[in-house]
Amino acid sequence: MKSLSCDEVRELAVPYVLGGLDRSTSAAVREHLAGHPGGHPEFAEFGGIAPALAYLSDPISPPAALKGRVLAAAAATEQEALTRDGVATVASTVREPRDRIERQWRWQEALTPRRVAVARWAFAAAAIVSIVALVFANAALQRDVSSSRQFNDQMNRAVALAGAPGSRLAVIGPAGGSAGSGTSSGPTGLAVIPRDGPGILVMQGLAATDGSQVYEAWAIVGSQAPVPIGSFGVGGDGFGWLAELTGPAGGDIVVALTREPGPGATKPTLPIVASGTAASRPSG
Amino acid sequence: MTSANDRVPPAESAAESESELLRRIASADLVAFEAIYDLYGSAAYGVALRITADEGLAQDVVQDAFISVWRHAAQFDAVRGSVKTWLLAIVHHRALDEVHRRRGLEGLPDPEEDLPAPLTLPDVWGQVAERLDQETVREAFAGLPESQREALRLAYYEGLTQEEIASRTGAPLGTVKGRVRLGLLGLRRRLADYGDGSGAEAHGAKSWVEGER
Repeated sequence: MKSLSCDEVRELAVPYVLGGLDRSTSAAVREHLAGHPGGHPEFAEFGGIAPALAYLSDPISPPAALKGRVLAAAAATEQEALTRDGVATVASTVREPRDRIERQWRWQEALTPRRVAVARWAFAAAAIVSIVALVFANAALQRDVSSSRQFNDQMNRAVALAGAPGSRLAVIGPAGGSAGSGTSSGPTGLAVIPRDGPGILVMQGLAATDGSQVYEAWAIVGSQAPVPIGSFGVGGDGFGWLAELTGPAGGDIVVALTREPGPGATKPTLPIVASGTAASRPSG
Repeated sequence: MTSANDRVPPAESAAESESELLRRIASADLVAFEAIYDLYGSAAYGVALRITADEGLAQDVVQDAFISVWRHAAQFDAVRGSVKTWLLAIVHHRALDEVHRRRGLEGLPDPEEDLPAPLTLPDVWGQVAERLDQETVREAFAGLPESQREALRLAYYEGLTQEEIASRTGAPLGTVKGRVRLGLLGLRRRLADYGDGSGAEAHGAKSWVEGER
C-alpha cells in the first residue's frame, strides 16, 4: 500500500468522501487518517455533508420479492454463524481431552516413582471416564451440527423461494408481542409460501419436544378456523422446519405454531407459541 | 410501502426508536430488521437504481447494504448520524463498487471489507437531517450554480473521478476540483441555515459547522 503525505491526503479529501477513489487509494487514505486522529478536519467537513446528496434521489418502491430476499438472506447469515459456532465448539471439545491428557502427563512425570504409579493409575481411570463422557458429548454436538447444517440447507431454500415473484413471506416471532424478540429470547423464523408449489417454514429457538409431542403449524385466513398445515418435532438444538408447507392461495395468512401432545390435531389445543403474517404484496 | 419521506417524525423520538431498532437488530431480531427495511427500503432502492441504472444490480446492492446493517448493527452510533444516513452511505458505497466493477476498475467487492469511510467520521448532516426533508435538500442543491451541481452529480451518482469529470465536461482539472469543493461547502452552508431556523439542536449543529471552518 502506498504511503501518502498530509498534503496528498488533504487533496484527496473531497474525492474520498464522494467515493471517487479506487480501493487501494482509499485504503491508503484510511491508513493515513488512522495515524493522524483529528489531524484532518476537512474529512469531517466534507464527509459530514456528502451523504445529503443521497437525499436528491426519489424513493422508489423496490420489487416486492426483494424484501423476502433480504429478510431470508439475513436469517441465513445468522444461521451460518450458528453453524460455524457449532463446528468450532465440536472441534475445541475434541481437542480438549488430548491437550488435557498431555498436560496431566507432564505434571505426573514430575512426581516421585511411587506416587507416579498411583497417579498414573488414577489418571488413566480418570482419562478413560473423561474420554467416554466426551465421546457421548461430542456425538451429541455432532448431531447438533448436522442438524444445524440441514437447517441451513432449508434456510437456503427459503432464501431462493422468498425471492421468487408472488411469494408470500412471514417473519415468525414469539407470540404475545414482537418487541425485543430475537433468537436469544424466543422462537423466530420464516415461512415462505410461493405462488406455485410447496412452501417452507424454518424455525429456531423452539423448546425441544418430548415423546410424541410435535409443533403443529396452522394457517389462519381472516376469521376462519385455523387449518393444520404440517407438524414437526424439535431436538435440543431448537431447530425445526416444514419442508413441504402448503398454504391457502391468495390473501394474507397468519401462520401460527402450537405445541401439541401428538400429531394429527385438527384444532389447536394449546396456546400459540409463535406466529407471523404472510402478506400478499403486489408483484414487481 | 412506506418510505422514509412519507413520514417525518419528531427528531428525538425518531432517533430513539431507530436506535432501539438497531439495538434489536444487533440481537438478531428479524422483526426489527423488517421494520428498518419498511422504513428505508424505498430510499435505498432509489439511490441504488439511480447509480447503477440497472434493476437487477440495484436489488443486489440494496440486499448487500441491508445485510451490512444486519451484520454491523452493533457498530451503529446515533451520535454520528441517523440510520437512514448510515444506510444510504452504505448503498452509495456498494453501488459505486458495482459501477466501478462494470467499468473494469475494480474486482468483486469483499463482503467483509470495512464499512464506507464516511461512517467513521463525525456526521454533521446526521444532526440536522432529522429536521430536513428531501425538498429542503433539493432546494438547497438548486441554489448552487449549475456547474457545481453538475460536478457533484457526476461525482456522487456516476462515480466519476475528478479527472473523468474534467474530461466529460471539458473543464480544466483545477476548475473541477474547485467546483466540487465549493459545491459541497455551499450545500453545507445552506442546509445549516435551514437547520438554524428549526430549533436549538440544529443551531448547535450549525455552530459546530462554523467552528470547523
